Amino acid sequence: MTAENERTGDGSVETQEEPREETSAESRDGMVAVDDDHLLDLYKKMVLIRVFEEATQRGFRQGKIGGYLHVYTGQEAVATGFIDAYQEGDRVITAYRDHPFPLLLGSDPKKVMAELYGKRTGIVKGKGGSMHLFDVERGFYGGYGIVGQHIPLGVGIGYALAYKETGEIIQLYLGDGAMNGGPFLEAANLAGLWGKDGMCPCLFIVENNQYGMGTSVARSTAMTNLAAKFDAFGVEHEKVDGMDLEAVLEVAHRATEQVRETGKPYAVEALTYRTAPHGAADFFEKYRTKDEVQKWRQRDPIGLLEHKLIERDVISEDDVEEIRDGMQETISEVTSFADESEEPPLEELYTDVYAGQDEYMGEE
Amino acid sequence: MPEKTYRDALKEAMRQEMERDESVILMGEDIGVYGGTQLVTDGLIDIFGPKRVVDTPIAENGFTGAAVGMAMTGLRPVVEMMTWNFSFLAADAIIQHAAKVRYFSGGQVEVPLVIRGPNGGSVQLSAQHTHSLENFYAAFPGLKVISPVTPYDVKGMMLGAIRDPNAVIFLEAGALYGTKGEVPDDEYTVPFGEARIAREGDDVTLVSYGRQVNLCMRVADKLEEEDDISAEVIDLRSLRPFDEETIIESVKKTHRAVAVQEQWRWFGVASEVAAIIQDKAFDYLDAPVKRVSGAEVPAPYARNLELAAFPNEDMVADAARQVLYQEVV
Amino acid sequence: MPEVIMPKMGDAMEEGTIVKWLVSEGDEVSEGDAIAEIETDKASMEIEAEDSGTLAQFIAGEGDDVPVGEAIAFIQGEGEEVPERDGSAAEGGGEAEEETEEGGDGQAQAQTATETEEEAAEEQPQAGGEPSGDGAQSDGQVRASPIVRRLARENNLDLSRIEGSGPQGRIVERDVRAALESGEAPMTDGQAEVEAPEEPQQEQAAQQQIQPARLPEPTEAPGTQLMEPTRMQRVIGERMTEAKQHIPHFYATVEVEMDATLALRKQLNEQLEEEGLKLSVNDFVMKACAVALRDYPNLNAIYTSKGIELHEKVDLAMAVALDAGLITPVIKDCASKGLATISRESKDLAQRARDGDLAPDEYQGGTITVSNMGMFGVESFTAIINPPQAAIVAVSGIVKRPTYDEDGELAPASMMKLTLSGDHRIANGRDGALYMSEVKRILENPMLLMV
Repeated sequence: MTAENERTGDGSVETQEEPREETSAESRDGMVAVDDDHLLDLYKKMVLIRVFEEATQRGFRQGKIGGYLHVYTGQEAVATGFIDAYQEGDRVITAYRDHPFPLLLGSDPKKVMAELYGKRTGIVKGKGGSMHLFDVERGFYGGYGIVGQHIPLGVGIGYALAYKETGEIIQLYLGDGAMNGGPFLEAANLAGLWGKDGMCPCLFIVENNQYGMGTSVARSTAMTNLAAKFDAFGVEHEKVDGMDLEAVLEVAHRATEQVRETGKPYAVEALTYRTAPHGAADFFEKYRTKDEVQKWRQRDPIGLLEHKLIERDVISEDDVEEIRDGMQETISEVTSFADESEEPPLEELYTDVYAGQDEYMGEE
Repeated sequence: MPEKTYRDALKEAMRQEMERDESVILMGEDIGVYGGTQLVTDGLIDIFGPKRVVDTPIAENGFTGAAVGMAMTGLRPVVEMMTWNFSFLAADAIIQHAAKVRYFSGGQVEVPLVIRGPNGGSVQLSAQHTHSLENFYAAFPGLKVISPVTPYDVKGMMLGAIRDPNAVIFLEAGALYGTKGEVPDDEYTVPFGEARIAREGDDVTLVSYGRQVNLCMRVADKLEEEDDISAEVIDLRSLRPFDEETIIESVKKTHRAVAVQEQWRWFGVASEVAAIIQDKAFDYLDAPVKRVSGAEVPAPYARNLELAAFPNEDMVADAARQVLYQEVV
Repeated sequence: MPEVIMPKMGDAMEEGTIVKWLVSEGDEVSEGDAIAEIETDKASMEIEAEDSGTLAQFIAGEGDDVPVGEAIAFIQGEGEEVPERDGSAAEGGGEAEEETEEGGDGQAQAQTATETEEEAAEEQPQAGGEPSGDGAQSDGQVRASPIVRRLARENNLDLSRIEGSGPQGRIVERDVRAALESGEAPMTDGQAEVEAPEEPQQEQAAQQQIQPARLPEPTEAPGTQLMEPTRMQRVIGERMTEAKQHIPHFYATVEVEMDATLALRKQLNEQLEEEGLKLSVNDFVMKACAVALRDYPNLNAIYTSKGIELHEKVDLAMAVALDAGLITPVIKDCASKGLATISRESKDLAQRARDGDLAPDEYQGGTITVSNMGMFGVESFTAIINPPQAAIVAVSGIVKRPTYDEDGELAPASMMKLTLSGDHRIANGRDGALYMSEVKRILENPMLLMV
């Protein structure tokens, strides 16, 4: 039995309070104990993410969410599995497909949605939007909008954690599309280099959803074995079926502990698929066929898990319905909260530009 | 007070701060074993070890980005750009991340980061290795941009920069590492956003920063000697934050101003100086504000062409005479 | 004769310092021998002889800074002679420039090609010390630097009479300072007014520079005569120009049937005859204008530097034409005064105005002005607001005209036009219209003036 987040009656996720020592102990044996109750909890989280993302797409269509909107639909098992191995003090960094991370790390979904709505109650006070969610108290060091450029930051965070001898690690998420750019290559090189001295406890999690926007992996690189690219930098790696939560959990706990113990980086390529468009405004999807999307939907991570849970008699079809309805209700409260919140006060325009001074130092 | 070179003053600041604060680390290309191409960090790896004096591969974007991450996690990295010319490769890390992450995280993180290195022209390094990037970086809110010229200031401002909770672009006067000046042994900081009146005068204000301050000082001597003109020289020291007050007060006294910069004229710091003066001291002006700048060309290699591309004494003196409505020889 | 030159030992090295000669003049040296210790700003190192022979001469001494590439010594091979040198090179290096790398600046002085010098060349012909005479205003505008304009304002200087020594005759600070120091600085004509600085309106007028607009030269044709405008004409001209340029005027005209007022006036004048008092139509109009203001305070107002000052009391200024111009003496608290009082005061003020006997407080501080040109047979006119007041009422003459009466029958009536000019910054058209219709109602029911 693993320690697990407390859930409130309405299904929203509360902050995890207890360190998961049991998990650590067990995973060190390479035997990830995933009992059915825990799987059910994770299933609920995945449904929460799915329903949340559906609500964001509605909000976008209604014009309540502006800017860019990138949803995680179809990839839920990856973040859910790896964040299950998160321990308090660890850090998480990712690019702009970042909504599930604060939700999984225990941030209030209301604040996340309010951020997307551009409200003062938002998780970064309405200053970042969809691409720049942060919850530093819970270890979430942000979503970033420039493909690949958060990777050096993550590697640097890894160095700092090792330097301070905290025993904490960073989970660094990146997409397949980020692996062809300079920042990845430079940062992966640094990670491998620093890792030789145990100075880079960084777990690279490649969310290979097979498309960088509309360009497939095969159209982006001749070397489509993405995990193997880490060989060039002396970083150990493996692959996992990113649609199978149980498989992800096994790798996540094992890899996390290895990084924690060695201070060396490790890379996992999770093969997954974004069943939603790249961005909410990406309607036509000329780069892939409906058949292909349909095929992947049959391997939908939530569907797969549901099937297993029903087969194992953990839940029934009715339960599935009930869970989804419950989440819908939760998210509808979340959406109302975001909708009804006030806009940020205009004074906020000039705050947070510089640390250590409340007032902006620029032109009056 | 002991005399030290600009280089040693800089090194002393970093060493003292590293002794005081374990979260301070140095990073950059060949700063450790090699000692730094300008020898600014020479010997520090022997004192602090390779975990605190980190030799990086030649990958400006990667290691600068990593330094941003370190700063967000509580370290105080001081990154050396071997020269600022290479910082274009790291511009995304600096501008898109170091400058902005505090804002777009709603104030959840700080980036106590210093990026330092030689700025401006040197000797015959030609087009790709000769830039003055102060206007480039000062254009971005979220960054602080410092350009000290005296050994005293470089130490005090480096200590201040390392202690500052923000990303500081620390532009060293590349040509002046060997110049000497009085530098106290103790720790002290020189505040940002306060210009220095390098020389008092009544007839014309020469505004500059970096090594052009020394040029202005020489011109001021020359003007006094040859024309009995009393020039006030202002060393901005810090470009963001920017001390408008000192300039305005000076122009209210002298009624004339010349802004001198090594960088290109268009969209430069001198233009900002001129705009501030016309805005805030208009009724005190006796002549349009003149700008003296580098030639609008990529830096040439041949020494005579290179010298012609940088501001020189005559150009500054002539500009001063022009705003004084004197005959220009 | 091989020279030993200062070697370049780093990419930014421009010169080096001779720390120490390791050999003496006259010594035999072989290729590869260390001959001197050199220091740059980054390092110190030994330099080696590249030739063998006798070290015939040191060109630079210990402690000297020598530019890269310049000779520091000669090595004399067999049969070679040492060239004549004046030795100055060896002495010259004592003064180290504080910024060694820039030592070459002087060389570049003759060959720069950047903006400043180009501009200098452009401006040079004008920038010469020669004053350019009337060039300062050749296009009809005084060219003067901002500080000069400021000094002119503060010292009441007439810039049109100062010659500028700057480019295109720009008047620059030194020109003004010279004029002030010479004691011959030309004052603006408003200068005389400064003697009474407590008089805000006049001071304001005095501070107005007389800006020569684009005016033609006098024709001096036969039958013309050139007249200097009087001081009063200048002041009025400036104030009216100021008012017309800066106050957004709006206008509202009403036509008033004056028969009732004329009848009442006749009746009252018969009774007042013994007292030697004769009410004028204007007395009625002034009283009506004052009384009607009660409900329109924003037409009884002053436009001040800090905002609009509304006045309870109506201090009504009446325009009095003089030979030399006009003046507007004030009937204080006009609304609460009776017609007889108004009549007496207005006659007294008008007379003394013509005699030039008014005290400043008698023509200052009005809150609204009434200007009557009815006596000249004017049928309609509009007036310029008398700043800082909010409004002025222009009173035209009474004309007998056919009108339709209540039954639609044609009937003769005595009609008079009143035109309000209002300051749109203070009041708007609706206020003006309602106020004028109230004045009209009162004058058409003049018994209202008696209550």
